[in-house]
Amino acid sequence: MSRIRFIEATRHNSSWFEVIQRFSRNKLSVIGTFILLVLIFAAVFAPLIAPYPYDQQDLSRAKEYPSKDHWFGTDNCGRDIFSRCIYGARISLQVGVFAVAMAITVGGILGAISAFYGGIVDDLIMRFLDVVYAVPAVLLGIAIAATLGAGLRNLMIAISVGNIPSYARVVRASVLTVKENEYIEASRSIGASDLRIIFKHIIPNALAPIIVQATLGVAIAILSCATLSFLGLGIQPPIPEWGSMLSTARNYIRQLPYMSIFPGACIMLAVFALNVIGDGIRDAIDPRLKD
Amino acid sequence: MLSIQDSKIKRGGLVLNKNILEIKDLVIQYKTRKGIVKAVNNINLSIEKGETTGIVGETGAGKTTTALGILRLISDPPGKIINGEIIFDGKNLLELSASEMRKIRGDRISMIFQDPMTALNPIMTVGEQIAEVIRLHGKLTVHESMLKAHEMLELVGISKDRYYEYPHQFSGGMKQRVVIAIALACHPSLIIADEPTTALDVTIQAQVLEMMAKLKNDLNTSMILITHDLGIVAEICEKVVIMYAGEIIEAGTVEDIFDRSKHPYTKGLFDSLPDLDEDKVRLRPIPGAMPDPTNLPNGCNFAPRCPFKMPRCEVKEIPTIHFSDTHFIKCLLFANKD
Repeated sequence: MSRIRFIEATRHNSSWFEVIQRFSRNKLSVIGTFILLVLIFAAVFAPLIAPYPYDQQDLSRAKEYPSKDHWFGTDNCGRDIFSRCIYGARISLQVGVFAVAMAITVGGILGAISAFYGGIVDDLIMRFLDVVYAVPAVLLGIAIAATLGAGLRNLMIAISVGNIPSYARVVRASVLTVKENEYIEASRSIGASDLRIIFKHIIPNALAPIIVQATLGVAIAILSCATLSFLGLGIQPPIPEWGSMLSTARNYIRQLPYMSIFPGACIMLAVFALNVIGDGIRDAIDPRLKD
Repeated sequence: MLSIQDSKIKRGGLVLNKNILEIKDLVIQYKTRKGIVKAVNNINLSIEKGETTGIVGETGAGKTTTALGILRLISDPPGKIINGEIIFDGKNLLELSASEMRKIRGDRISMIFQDPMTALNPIMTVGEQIAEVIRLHGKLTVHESMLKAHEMLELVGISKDRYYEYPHQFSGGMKQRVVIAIALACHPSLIIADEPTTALDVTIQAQVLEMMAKLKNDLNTSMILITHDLGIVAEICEKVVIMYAGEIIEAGTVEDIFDRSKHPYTKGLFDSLPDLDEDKVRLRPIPGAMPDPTNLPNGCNFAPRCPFKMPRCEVKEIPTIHFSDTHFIKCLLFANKD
């Protein structure tokens, strides 16, 4: 009986419900979410949606402007750009999410350890990460991708390594500020254990900036992925990736501008969507901004 | 409810000592780059069951450090309890393991913090925060602790409908009521209130104090009230301890301190208060400032500011002089009369 009531109670006081409610009041974020959902849908059901296979070449219809048959036109090999953009969403979203997940796990653990233990541990970890941080992320990505070779997995690793220091910093800063709050001392004074304080009081309070950083990070990772592919270090043809499509389109930018416009617009849309979602989450997650 | 009370009586049942808390020779220091900060120096203090003791002193006198020391919440580093005993209900708290200590915090001894604005977790509802302490000490089921939290909210004068609201939806005084509800939720034997009304409006101060005093009496809890407001002390304390530079320089009942204060510092404190009955032309503040805690003077800590300073004050160890069972001071002025 009490268990059932408890479930009801937790459902009732679930702050996530309120967070979603507040998030949905922000129109821009809702539009962003809609765009992202469309992209995710496209990525998941690409074989069903795309009118042509991404690597089907039809040289007789190469370099065609957008038409009824080819909504986004065809590229220099006669491949349907619309289909390739849809398949491209798969790669970009995958790289974005996994690269950020990797970076946030490693960076988050390092940052949290630094903040908790402080002293020499903090110095060692953070100074090492500063060294990594000093190298521009793209340059580091290029170096790693060049060393490991091209390919999806290596691309993810290359992008995530460059992002580790920034996540470590965000998590560390956020845990440090939260740790100093009086309510942490207060929860110690009511007999809460360290683990409980960390998971119940510190992490939820430290989460907001991390979530925002992560959402924006996915956008940045998609851009890095496009950059590396543009440079020929990422996804190899004929696998469609927005960045590598742009790279090919660059040669035809004067004659066939639509070849670069559509993949470019895809990148822009994805980045825009993730950015406004990040902002929306930041505002929604803070109960002080409620109403 | 009843069972909680019963178990509590059983736990402390065999101890016939009337003191719930006894602090003996407590020394707490902080290690900083500038040197060792001697925050608490050899203090002795005992709190009787059901009694309210006020600890009065200027900022930096070691009041909060003493309070945190009792709960062993001094962050180490930089702070450390160097010496002493803190006997609570027959057990020396300084000898307990970390997990035994956690069982005492919030359950047997709880703390009310100075600033209610920051003492509550901003992203947990106030009800959850009250229920948390009850759950932590494993006394009730989840549902029962929720009901108990409802009850606590009503007890401190907040409608239980506000269980699911967040701290930012409450005013300062209401937040402090919530903090008090958390502190009282497990019916502790001792409450340490660290300047509980300093951050509140004067009108709200009176309300909160009155409520605290009433609840304390209803639940028969002892209380240590840390403050620098002598008016509050006169209103709700039975005993008073005056701290200066980490030492207790005078202690006694409220009557001892208010009517028969002996120590020049205590007298100075009263002289620096405005008084409606007496036609004082001007307040007489105590000249100077508290000594640097990293570099305390020899002999009496108050000597550099004392109007009755004698040469030996700065050389000799200052003895404790008792005037009665309750009233004692640390001052050489009265030493030669023995």
